[in-house]
Amino acid sequence: MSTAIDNIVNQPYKAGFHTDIETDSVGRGLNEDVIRTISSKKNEPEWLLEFRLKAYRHWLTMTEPKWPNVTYPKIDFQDIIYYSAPKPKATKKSMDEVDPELLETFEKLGIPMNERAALAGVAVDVVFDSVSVTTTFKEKLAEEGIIFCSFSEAVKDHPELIKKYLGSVVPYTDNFYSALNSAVFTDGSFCFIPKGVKCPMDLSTYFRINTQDSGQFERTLIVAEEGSQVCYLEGCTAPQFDTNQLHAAVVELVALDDADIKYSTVQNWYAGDENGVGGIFNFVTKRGLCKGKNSKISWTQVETGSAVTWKYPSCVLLGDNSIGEFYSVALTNNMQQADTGTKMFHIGKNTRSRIISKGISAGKSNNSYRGLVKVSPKADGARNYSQCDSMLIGDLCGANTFPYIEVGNKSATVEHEASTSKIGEEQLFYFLSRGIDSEEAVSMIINGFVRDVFMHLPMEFAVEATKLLGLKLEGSVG
Amino acid sequence: MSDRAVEFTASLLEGEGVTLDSPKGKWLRQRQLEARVALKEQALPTSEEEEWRFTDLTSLYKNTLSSPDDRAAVDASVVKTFLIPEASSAIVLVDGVYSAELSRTNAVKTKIRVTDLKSALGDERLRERLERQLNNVGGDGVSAFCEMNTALFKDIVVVHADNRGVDMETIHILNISTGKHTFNHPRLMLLAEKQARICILEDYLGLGGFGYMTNAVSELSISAGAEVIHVKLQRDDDSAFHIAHTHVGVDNGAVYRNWSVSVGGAVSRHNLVTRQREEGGYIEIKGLALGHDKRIVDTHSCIEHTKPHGQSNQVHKTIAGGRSKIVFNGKVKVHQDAQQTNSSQQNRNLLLSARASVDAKPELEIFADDVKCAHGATVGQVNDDELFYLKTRGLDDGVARNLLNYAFAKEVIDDLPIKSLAGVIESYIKQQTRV
Repeated sequence: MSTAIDNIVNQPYKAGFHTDIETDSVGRGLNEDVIRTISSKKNEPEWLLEFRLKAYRHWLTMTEPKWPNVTYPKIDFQDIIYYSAPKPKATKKSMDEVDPELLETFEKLGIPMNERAALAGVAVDVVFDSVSVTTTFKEKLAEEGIIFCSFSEAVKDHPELIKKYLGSVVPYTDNFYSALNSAVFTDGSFCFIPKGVKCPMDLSTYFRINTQDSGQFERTLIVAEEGSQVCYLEGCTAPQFDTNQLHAAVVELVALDDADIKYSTVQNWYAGDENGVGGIFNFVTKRGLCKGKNSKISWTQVETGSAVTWKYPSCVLLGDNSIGEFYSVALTNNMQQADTGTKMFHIGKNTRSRIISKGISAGKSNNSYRGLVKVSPKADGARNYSQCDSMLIGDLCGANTFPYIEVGNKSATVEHEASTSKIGEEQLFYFLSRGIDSEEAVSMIINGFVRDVFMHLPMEFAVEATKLLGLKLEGSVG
Repeated sequence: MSDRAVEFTASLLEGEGVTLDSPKGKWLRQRQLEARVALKEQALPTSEEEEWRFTDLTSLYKNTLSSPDDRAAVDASVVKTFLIPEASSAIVLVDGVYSAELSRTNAVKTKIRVTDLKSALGDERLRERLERQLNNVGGDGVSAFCEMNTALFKDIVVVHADNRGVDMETIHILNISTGKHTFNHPRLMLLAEKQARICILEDYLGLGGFGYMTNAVSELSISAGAEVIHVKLQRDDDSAFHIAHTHVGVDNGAVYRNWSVSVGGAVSRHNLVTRQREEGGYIEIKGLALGHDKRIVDTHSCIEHTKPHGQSNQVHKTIAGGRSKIVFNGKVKVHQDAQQTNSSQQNRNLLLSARASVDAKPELEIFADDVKCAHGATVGQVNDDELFYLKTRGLDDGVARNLLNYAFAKEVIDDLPIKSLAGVIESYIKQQTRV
């Protein structure tokens, strides 16, 4: 049994390769000039530069958060390259014009980019080190009036929408890393679903950190108008490096009356080697605003990578009868540390939220669930159900649960449950007695443990996520 | 650190600690001095600190409190009404000072000794145990209020139980506050020897006192195979500030059962830290907190399993009415060595009014893989169906609600070993949850 588990734990990082590609970077460090340079390189309007500078000035007054249950070497924010973009070429009309080396990278990752993309029914907005290279399916989406493009394009083509919604859910004053992101974000995705439109396909973005030492500051904004529906997928892998890389993304979702946003993430960034050398620092601010009545935002995440994760996808349930959901699987091994969870703010009447979190810790890793359920005094009839289960593999890892429950309304009903367990000898014995070997049994037990979350992933991602866990389990499964 | 907290800390430190000149108390004076120094570094906490996030002490810090020098006479017949018949000994402290005329100690028929600091220091074995255990019973870190108590306590009630093979005995320790805007720092040390069996009732109440602060520290060191029942009843005056720390160390196969009931005070905070120090051991904690008017009731509990085969079971129930605020932070920590730990925790909160609030945070920190740990927390209101049922039986709305609230709270004290006290607590529940 122990060898089976060791095999699971000791899977090397599968996506570790580095593409040599010329990049256009600004120097290391951060000051107002760097921000002006980023802004001018991207031909941004004056108001956006102002937004960046305000955020930067506010960031200077802030200090790094110390409360998460993670430890990492102090980050030197002056030693980071804040802008790097693939060398600009003429605008591309077809896939043939894209740098072949770039295409090869996508090939290795198995991204359905050309015809495969059409077959898979996925529109991929590929972000390669901060700048969008190509966007597929744009025309098909445009027929429905859906805007799905890179953030820079959106700034050029739809400034009124960006101006209206940028920072409306995560203001630049929100926290240290969101302020930093607001000051230096280079690119990201923008998605707008007009009134009454049900997005005909799942939208997907692949992020990939490539240039050594370049911090990645993505900005994603999704706006779903009245009665619209969208399902958004985000997946990440990164090449293997020894220097810690900082990733401080901001994701903002806005759902108006009766709108429904489903946001799914599979995160498999480089986690460092078994001694904790290298790996990505993943400090992400994700928040959804259920602005309208009967709106719904659902977060599903599968976190398997990064050396340090600090991430709390949240829902602000402002509209009456709005619904927030959070489904999470967080797997840590070796020296990985994760402090992740969600925040549900019940503000409107009859708002409902549901939290299902599954943590798996192995090796010497430390996995914490930190969640907040807050019911404000006016949120009559608010309802929350939370369930946080942890599984420990080996006795050198840690699993922690920090749920905060703050209720200020007497008609609210809040329930929280948590448990911690391991793969029981009896469970294994049961499998063995039915002729299933221990490695397969372990894999089946873990897949069963995370099933409640995986069933909420969209089809394409469920396959990928199961594959990802399978990847980690490879060697033990045979 | 706010200026107010710093000023308040400094003003309290104008008071004196123990006045003993025997050389046997030298180490104790040294500890008091060390605590004083520590408080200069770190003043009393404010709500900026995570541990005090939900409990704002500004209302305490804006007071000027004094040492209770002029003691009001306490009527012995009144005190008598509070004493429980089950107790073989009753120790009465008035504003933190032992009162011989109000206390009654049974003749030394058993091997349980209840003494003050002076005579404890006179007994070499007890002195040595005291020196080893003081501030060292268990649990993470010492809070500033705990340091404050260490710097300023004037006496220690020492309970020494070495009564193996004899029936359990009950000791009542009654802390009466009579002062107006005064402070006192009661200190209790319970040393239960191997296989000893004892039940202690730690009881706090105000008798004519107003706006006073009680800053109590109780330490219980429970040796192998011993069984300790510990009931803490906080029924201080509605204007009082009650800060209490309970530190418990549980050895091999020992049993610790705690009932903590908070039905008084304007602001109260109870830090209950229990640490399983050796293999085995059973820890049971039952808590009840009633929020009433503008009261703030804060309970922070921590159960720490450091060695294998430990068991713990916790139930904490609260009822928040009026404009009260209830805080619960329940931590269960399982160290890497503590394999085969079995721990469960339940937190149930009932909200009665629109202006009351509950902040709950059950925490699990697990570093061992072969354990069973679970916790659950709920916040809710009285069930409409149950209410309807009672109304169809002819009860009016108020009576029906009161009955349901009472039933909710009663579960905690159903198996309280001190029967007469269960009745007393029941009447507090009925009275304070009336709608």
